[in-house]
Parts: sequence; structure tokens; C-alpha cells
Amino acid sequence: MAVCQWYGSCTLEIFVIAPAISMRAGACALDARKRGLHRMASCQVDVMKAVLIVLETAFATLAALLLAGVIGVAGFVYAGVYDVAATKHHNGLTHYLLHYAMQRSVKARSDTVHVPTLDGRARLDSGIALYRQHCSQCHGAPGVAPEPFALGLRPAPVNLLEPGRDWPARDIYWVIRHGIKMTAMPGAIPAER
Amino acid sequence: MAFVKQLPMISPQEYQNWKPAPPESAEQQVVLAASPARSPIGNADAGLRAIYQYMCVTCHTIPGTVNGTPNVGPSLDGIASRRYIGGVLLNTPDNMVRWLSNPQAVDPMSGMPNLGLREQDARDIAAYLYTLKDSK
Repeated sequence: MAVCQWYGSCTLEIFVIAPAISMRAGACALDARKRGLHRMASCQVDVMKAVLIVLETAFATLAALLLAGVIGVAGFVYAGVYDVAATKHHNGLTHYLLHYAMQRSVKARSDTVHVPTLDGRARLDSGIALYRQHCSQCHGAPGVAPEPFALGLRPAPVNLLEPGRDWPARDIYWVIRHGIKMTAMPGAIPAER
Repeated sequence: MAFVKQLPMISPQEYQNWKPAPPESAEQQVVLAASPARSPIGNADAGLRAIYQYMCVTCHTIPGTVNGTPNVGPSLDGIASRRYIGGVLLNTPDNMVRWLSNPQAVDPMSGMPNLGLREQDARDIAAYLYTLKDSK
């Protein structure tokens, strides 16, 4: 049996021919039961035909959708539909999706981070020095604005009060250590090379 | 942009030793006329753009903007109907512009920093904020 060649013929096959063959197979089976089992084999050929048509159609549909998807994505990229301007913010859905994907990505990788005790004045003293040196320029600090250049970054660098309150320490460590691609958040490089 | 286009032709030595040409004449400098008296609040549409520009949305949840629901400063939903600004200033248009322009000068205890707003931006942001009436 030929694989259906184009989408219209597939539709015809799955909605018209396959049900017709199924009905014929059903009638054949009923008939066979009345007359005894020796004619069942010929009915099974009909059933196989119907199943094959459905499988072919499903395959052809998936292939057509995949092709349309590839062409769609290529067209979206090549026509420059996506606006990369940092003077415009993301729309709500894009913002939500990207932010959520970022959080899931961090969570999926931060399991192995060993969190030491975070108490102790010495650790905080060294932390605030490093924060002033490397972080407040973009993220600001209590009562301190980010540097003017940081106001132009998109996505906008978040105020760290909220992750400080809500994020587990290992997730925060992971982001400081590895950074976030396609944002201005850099990964930390070792200070002494 | 002009300089970036020239960049491939400039050697490291030329870059190091680049001296600006002397100015041709001082007449090109534009003298700004004294600004006329303005109403205390400006344009709400410009204000919405300025709200992104000064990253207000990284701390405040502001209706009509996209940035999740940060909970660092208070939500500004219904700010137009509130009695006080920052808990310290009576909510009048003049005070709003004053607060936005430099909150630290009004209340050094506030966590809200001085973001260096231009006066017109402060007026425009105030105009947008006064569209956020109490929804209840």
C-alpha cells in the first residue's frame, strides 16, 4: 500500500478509507463468527490495512508539522522578527518564561554546592567588601543606586533583597560563581591566575 | 559609531596616543534658554518609559509594567490615593516630584536610593503614578 503522498490524501485515507475498511473488517468478522472460524484470516488482512493507514497518516502529519515548524523558526529568525533592542523590555510571557527557565536551570545544577556556615562577622566583613567591589555597581545596595551605565541593562539587574530573602544559599552561590548567559551577569573568574 | 567604524584601521599605538582636535569655534555650543514655568506633573506615557529606564520595576510592583512582582519597595498600586509618600511626605504632586528626584535628601533612613532622575523624568513618572488610583 502506498504511503499517503500529500496532506489532503492523508485526510481522505484516515477519515474515509480507513473507517470503510474497518467496517468491512467488522462485518467480515461477524460473518466469520456465524459461519465458523476458518474465514477469520482474511478479515485480519482488512484490519491490518486500516491500522497501517492510520499509522501512515499519523507519521505524515508529524512530518508535515515538523517541516512547518522548522520553516517557521527559520523565517522568524531570518526576517528579524525578534527585537533585540535593550531600550525595550520583554513582553510579559517572554519575561516570565525566561525568568522561570533561569530559576529551574539554577536549581537543576546547584544540588552539589556545599554550603558552609554563613554566620560570623569576618565572613560578612569580607562579603561586604566584595559586594562593594563587584556587585553594587549593577545591583545597587540599601539606599545606594546602581551606576548610571547599569540603568541601561536589559534584563534589568535585580535588586538582591528579594533573592537574599527567598533563594537558598546554594542557588545564590551558583549564580555568583557561574553567571547567567545572555544577561550582563558574569561568571566569577579566579582572582589570582 | 564613527569611531567604531574607524577602529579596524587604528593601531594600538595610535589608540594610545590619540589627541582630540582643537575645537573649531565656541559658537556650536547651544545655550539653553531658561525653562518656562511648568505644571508639577508631566506626561504619563513618557513616565512609563522612564519607569523602566530608572529600573523602578526592579524594586516596586507597578501596575501596567512587566517585571514579575518584586517585593523590595512597596507596590505602587493605588499610589495616587495614598496619604503619604515614603511614609514621610504628604502626597502632593510637588512632593512626589521632590521625593522621586532624591528620596535620600527627604529621608536618609529610606532604602530607596537617589537614582539621579532628571527633573522632567521625575515629573513624567509622577504623572504615571497619579494614574494608579485605588482599585477598591
